[in-house]
Amino acid sequence: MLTYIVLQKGQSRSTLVIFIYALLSLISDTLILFVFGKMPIERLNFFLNIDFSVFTVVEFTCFCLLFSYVLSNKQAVRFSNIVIYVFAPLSLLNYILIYSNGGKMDTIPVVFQAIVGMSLSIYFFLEQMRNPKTLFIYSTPAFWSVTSILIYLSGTFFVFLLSSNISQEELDMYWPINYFFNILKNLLFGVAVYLQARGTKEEEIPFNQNLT
Amino acid sequence: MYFLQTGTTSSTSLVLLFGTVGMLVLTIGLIVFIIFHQRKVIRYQLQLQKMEQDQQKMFLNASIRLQEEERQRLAADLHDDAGPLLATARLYLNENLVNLDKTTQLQNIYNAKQIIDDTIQLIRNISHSLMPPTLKNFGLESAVNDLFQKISASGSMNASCRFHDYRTRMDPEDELIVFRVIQELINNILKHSNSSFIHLTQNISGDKLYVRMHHDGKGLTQEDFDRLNKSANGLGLKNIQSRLKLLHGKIFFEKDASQTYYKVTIEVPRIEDGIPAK
Repeated sequence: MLTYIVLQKGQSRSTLVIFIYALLSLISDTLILFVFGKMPIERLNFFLNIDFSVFTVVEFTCFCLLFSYVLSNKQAVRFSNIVIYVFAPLSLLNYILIYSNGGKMDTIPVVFQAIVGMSLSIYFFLEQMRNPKTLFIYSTPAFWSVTSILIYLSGTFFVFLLSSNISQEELDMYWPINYFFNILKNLLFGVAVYLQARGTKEEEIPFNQNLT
Repeated sequence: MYFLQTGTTSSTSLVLLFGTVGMLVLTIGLIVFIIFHQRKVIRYQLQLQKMEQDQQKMFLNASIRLQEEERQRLAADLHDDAGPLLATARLYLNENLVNLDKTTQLQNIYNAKQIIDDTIQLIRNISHSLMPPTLKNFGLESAVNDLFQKISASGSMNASCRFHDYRTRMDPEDELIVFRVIQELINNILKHSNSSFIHLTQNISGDKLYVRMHHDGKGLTQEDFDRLNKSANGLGLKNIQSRLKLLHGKIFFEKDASQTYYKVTIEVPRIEDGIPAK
């Protein structure tokens, strides 16, 4: 939410969102590894649940902000802004109802996030298909950002969806899938940031170039 | 395979595994499809772009060539006709004129005057061919009537024209463009068609002005026109096309249903005082 408020009037916002997202992700992982990991099991679960819930909201906000910067359709942008406000109460409700009853994962918000994120990603690609603005779509940071989100959300979709229905051993066994897609997502975000930093301007279709 | 070999797989975890693989395949497939589709679309757009640029280049070349031809014609007219006439007049009016007897002097002056009059007429003709005064002063209808009367008077062909609805004159520059197009078409008909008559009609329908010409000779169809327009030949046709493009006009070539006549229709949007007519 803070990211959302701060960046409303910012410039080069996509990179800043990715940077803040990566930073918060690092803080969250550091807390889990070095702080919560040393706590007794009852307190560990409590703090882990809070960490997961808060991080899911932050992650969803960052993804939606990225979409609002890369999409052209005003209604789609409005939608991606509105769902940010819908998501926080949903996550809070999930925390109260599920976690307080001993639930393992914030499955519902994560699945909601995945569905919204994948839909907006597909919509972004649809926009690019309908109205291609660049000569090579993969030369734009937006493409890599959206690809990163889409691959991450689709790759971890079933892990999060079924995490409540499998045993802890099985979840531990499949959890590397999450690690793998997390790393892949960060790598692809890295490509997006690199392209942005290199100043890769969207190559306009050379309508005025001499093509002979 | 690692996940399947662990031996503790339940049906849910199988769903998880295959679901994840399926989602990944779908996602990668989607991204690859989009990349290829987008490249295809852009390649197609570039191809269209190239074709349009080629055509523009051809029109430009045609226009330059035509301008050069016109200049050559003017230069030839001035050099071959006006030049000798003025040189002859100069001969009559040389320094020796004062030493001649009065009668010869008068005769020389009279001859020089005749030659200068001829030269004036010649220059006037050249000027008229550049910008017909009838068109400038009385408009398209009078200029076309004038042109058709001259063709008929030559006796080579029966030419008639009828303007049904031309109460408001077009913009003078637009009139000149339409007149030039008509001139070029008539020139082509005279040169290539071997027809016995030309009939021109003018009409207005909606916000468009139509000029249609019929002739009974050998003409062009739309396919012929398109083909010639794309080829290196057909300078006049390219010129017609580029002139009409300035007016956002169109030209249609067709053969009459009776297969006896050829029709050429010029369609031009009507603009009154800079605003498209309703």
